[in-house]
Amino acid sequence: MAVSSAVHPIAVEDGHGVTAARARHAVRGLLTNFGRTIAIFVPVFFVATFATFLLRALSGLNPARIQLGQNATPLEINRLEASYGLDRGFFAQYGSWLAGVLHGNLGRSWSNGYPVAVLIRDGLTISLTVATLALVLGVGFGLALGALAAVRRATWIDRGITSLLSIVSTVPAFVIGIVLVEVVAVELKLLPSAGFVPFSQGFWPWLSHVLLPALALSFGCMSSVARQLRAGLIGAYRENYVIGATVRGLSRRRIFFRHVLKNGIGPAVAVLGLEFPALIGGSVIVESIFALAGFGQFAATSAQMGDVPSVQGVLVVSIVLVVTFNLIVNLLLGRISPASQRGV
Amino acid sequence: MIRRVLAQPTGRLAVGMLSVIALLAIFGSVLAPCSPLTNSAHQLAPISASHWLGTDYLGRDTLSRLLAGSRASIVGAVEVGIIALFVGAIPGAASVYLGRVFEWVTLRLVDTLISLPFLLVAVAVTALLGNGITQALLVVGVLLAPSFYRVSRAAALSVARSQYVEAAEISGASEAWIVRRHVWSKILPPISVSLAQTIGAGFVVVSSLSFLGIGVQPPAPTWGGMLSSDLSYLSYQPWAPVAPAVLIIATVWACNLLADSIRDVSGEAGRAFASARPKRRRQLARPEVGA
Amino acid sequence: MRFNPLSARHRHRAVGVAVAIGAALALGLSACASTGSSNAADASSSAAVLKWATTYFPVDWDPVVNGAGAQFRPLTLVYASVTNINAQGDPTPGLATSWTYNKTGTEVTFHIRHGLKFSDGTPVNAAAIKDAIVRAQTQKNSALIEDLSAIQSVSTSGDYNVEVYLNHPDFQIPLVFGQRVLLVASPKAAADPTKLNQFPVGAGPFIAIKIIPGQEAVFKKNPNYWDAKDIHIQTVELFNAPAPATVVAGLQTGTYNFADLAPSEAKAAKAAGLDVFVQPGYNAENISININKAPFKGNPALVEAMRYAINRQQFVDQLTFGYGKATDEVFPPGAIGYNKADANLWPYNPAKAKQLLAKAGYKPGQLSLDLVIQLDTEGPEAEIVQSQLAAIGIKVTITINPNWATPFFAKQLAFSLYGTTGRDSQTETLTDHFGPNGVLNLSAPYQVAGFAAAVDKAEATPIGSPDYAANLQAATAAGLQSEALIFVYSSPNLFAKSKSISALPGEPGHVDFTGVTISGQ
Repeated sequence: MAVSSAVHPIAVEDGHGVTAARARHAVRGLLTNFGRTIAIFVPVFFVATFATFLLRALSGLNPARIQLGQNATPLEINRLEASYGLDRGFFAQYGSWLAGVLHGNLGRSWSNGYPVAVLIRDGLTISLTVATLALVLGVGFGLALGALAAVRRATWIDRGITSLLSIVSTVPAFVIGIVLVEVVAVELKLLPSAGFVPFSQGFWPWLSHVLLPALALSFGCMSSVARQLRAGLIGAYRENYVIGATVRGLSRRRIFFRHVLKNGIGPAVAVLGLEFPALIGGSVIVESIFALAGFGQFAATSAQMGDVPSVQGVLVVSIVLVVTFNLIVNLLLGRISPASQRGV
Repeated sequence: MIRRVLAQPTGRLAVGMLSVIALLAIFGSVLAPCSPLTNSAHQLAPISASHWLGTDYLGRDTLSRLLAGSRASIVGAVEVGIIALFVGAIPGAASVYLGRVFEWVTLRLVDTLISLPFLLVAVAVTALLGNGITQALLVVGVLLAPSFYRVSRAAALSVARSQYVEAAEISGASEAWIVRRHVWSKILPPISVSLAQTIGAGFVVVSSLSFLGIGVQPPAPTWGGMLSSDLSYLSYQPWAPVAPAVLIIATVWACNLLADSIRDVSGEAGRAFASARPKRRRQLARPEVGA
Repeated sequence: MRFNPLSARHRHRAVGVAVAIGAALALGLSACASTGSSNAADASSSAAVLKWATTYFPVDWDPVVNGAGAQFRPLTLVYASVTNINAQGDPTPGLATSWTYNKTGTEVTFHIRHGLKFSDGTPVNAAAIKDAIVRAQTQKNSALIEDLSAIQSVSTSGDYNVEVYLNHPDFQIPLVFGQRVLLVASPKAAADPTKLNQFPVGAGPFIAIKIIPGQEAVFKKNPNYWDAKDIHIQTVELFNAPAPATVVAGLQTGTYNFADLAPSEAKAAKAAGLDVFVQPGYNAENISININKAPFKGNPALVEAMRYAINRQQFVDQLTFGYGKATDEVFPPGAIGYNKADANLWPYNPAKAKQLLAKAGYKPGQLSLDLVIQLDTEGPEAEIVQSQLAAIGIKVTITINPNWATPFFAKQLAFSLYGTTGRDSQTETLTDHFGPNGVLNLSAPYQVAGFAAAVDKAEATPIGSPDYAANLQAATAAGLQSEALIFVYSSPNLFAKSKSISALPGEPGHVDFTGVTISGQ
């Protein structure tokens, strides 16, 4: 488990110096952590974007397939491809595409000529809203359930929660989504079943439309977080200092919140880094069921039409999202349990 | 090991369920009361003696279609598991022996695969590569390979440094013998755990893809595809999605149960492998605590 | 005791800050999504709003590129046409108040309304109409060239008279100049057709405010529309319809109040307290065959075999949920062009079909065909075709390709399904399906013998004359012999609407909001 073994300096007289030293230490730790994380994710970004770019060559698709038809003479096909810059060598194309990506230009869609960045933008806000809400729900309920199961370990509460989680984690998101639509929206008429209302049109209209899709997405995250937290807390409870603390008369609540939780929460936070890609990926299904015009839908439609630049743009954006999210998670993890950063 | 798994109640349950499902996959079309492809005039019929689960929108017997679809879905998931196994385990073990550069490259590739949003990439790449079922299985298999990579790499790492292997080498044992005698029994439990989990996860992904209409070939039935088309006729048959949904959930749950029971049974050694990390600085935080 | 350099307080604060950042990000992002639609929010808060989920969300907003197929309907929100039709299918005034033919039917003059303007201020006059006609005939990516092939030249006389010279007698022009073919765009905007294709500028009942490609379009009422006094809707929000199974739920929960409806959802719509509007029209589904490609090339017996293999009643029973009927002609039974005498020329006869297949030189199971469909909602129809052909020994493989339209209209497919919603002009329907350059004739330039003469004769007959129906039906009969088309069934378009929306006028094939009110807003 990720805990630090550093010992508090005892010097109390020179309070000012100690605080400054502590602050410097903290900042240096933060920067090292940040630097290390970046050094890992930069290659990931480049490998992923290269693989994305490779898709066009692998798929053998070209814009002529979508746009031309009656007028598809070889001359016209060549002209169309040249206008998209597709007549240059592979690495020349990759270079200019990558340069564009780094400046925020994701190319033009082959099916309607719009800049891909514009097409993705509106859908992205919808998908991110749903994914973030799903994350909040998943983490919130996951932490609560996991903590409850750990604190009441080996009782029927624990067994009940664990079995429930093991079943829930196997149910695919589309089944949950369908059940929610049928039961909550259509039968109980509590919440709408389709569409998206922006936040500016009111808090409740916005929330009522995003709640069901976010809930459908959140179950996987919820069960992972709960399981990791439960395992982490149970491990932390087994440590010697807990016995020592109990013997010294600390209350159970204080033991839990001040010591066990901070030491046991590491894996639960760490697993978020793995869950976030699943949330973005699950958006394809959830947007289909709940009629949200998000970027998962956009990716699926563009892919089926053979509109390669749009698909590439979506993949790049999702990679950036995941990398950014993992950066935040690693930073958090560094502050919560610095030992994890030392590769233990 | 199999005996120990069967000794556990969860293990028995899991193996039992999976055996039933495997039987369905193999003998499904034979057991089916009607041909899954025969249209009849009785469209969307309710449950009756001649049609135990009613008929679908073209008058085909739902039960027969479920049985016939079991093969496609299950074989697909097993294929995904095998592809993931080979794509992941071989580089994983090799990374310990083939030098720093190979190791660094494969580690970065694995990091990339983990970072990709799973279903989105599966949908996008499958559709771009022709929307067929083979492409779908290949893509999903590659995306699920990282867990095999980690497991086999951890196993290879610990074996490469263990003393009993050194001792065996010193006393003249051949590499093949070492592998068979020591490495195999150590690797088998965590690989089995990963395989069971991957088949379960692959099953979910393949069902999701067929739900979205990717990789399906009408009129061949698939569980995910049936669930999707059941949605269009909910007002006529509100209970229809229950059957394919229950089958999908049961299969995935059985796979996960099997994985859990193998992990429990293999004890400390298995757990250590499953949770061992490469002895380098941590890339992505990847805890794997046996729960 | 294990300690950490950072106290618990700091750590919890860090987590709290991260969560707060995340939540603020989510809210901020969704607020961003709203800035563009704030106009719609303002408009909808005060006046009658139509929220329409359509399965024909336009990809092309230039009417010349969009074509005369069913996807013309959303474009009629923002463009006006030269003529309209009434419930009987007769031409009525639109941008033109009246028209006059010469005696021989080779010249027609349209008199345009005075004082109208496009939404960008350009005046609606004879020059603008002429511009629209010429553009439809000459623009490189025009889908309307064939529909206007009767027009030799156009000239203007004064500001408000458009003189159309035809190359043969043709009394159909007032119908041809309707909403499907002659939606008039502002000539100033049409000078840049690529831009017009992304953002429409017309003189229709509404003005486009915002277009999000492939997703949503917002329109507000055009006070300068020639019939503005009869338009009681202030704002239209057009959405790309989601999966058919979710449409009714969307209507129930108020996300939409008007939507294109699949027949399988009609029962759910009625149970949910919605109105189901059955649009009158001339829909006809067919199996299109390309006799210029293998295996049909030079093998008429194969086409005959397929004709006898089709059981129309199964399509009607399993796809139309009580709303459709079988048809073996390009018009549904009851339409003016439907030829009763020639009904049921090829009755369902699988035994005869097998014989003909053998005569065509194929053993059962030997022949394989590829069937490409565009959407998975067409799956059931394709599966019925597949099973009926399998019954006589032809194996059909179905693939779903959202890009189906390009190879279909380029005549590259050997075999396809197609469904028409008809045309305002009945002879236009015939020439589109059977003519040598017909857009819906997969075997073009193939034209069955006798068709050209018959359809010319029908076009040369004035619409009101006593011979018209007979000549039209004769042209239908001639076209029916074409080897390129097997007609199967007719299923009307359905729309589900909230009860707060009043009844729509029943013009065949059109969605017209003239006179429609939305109560309670």
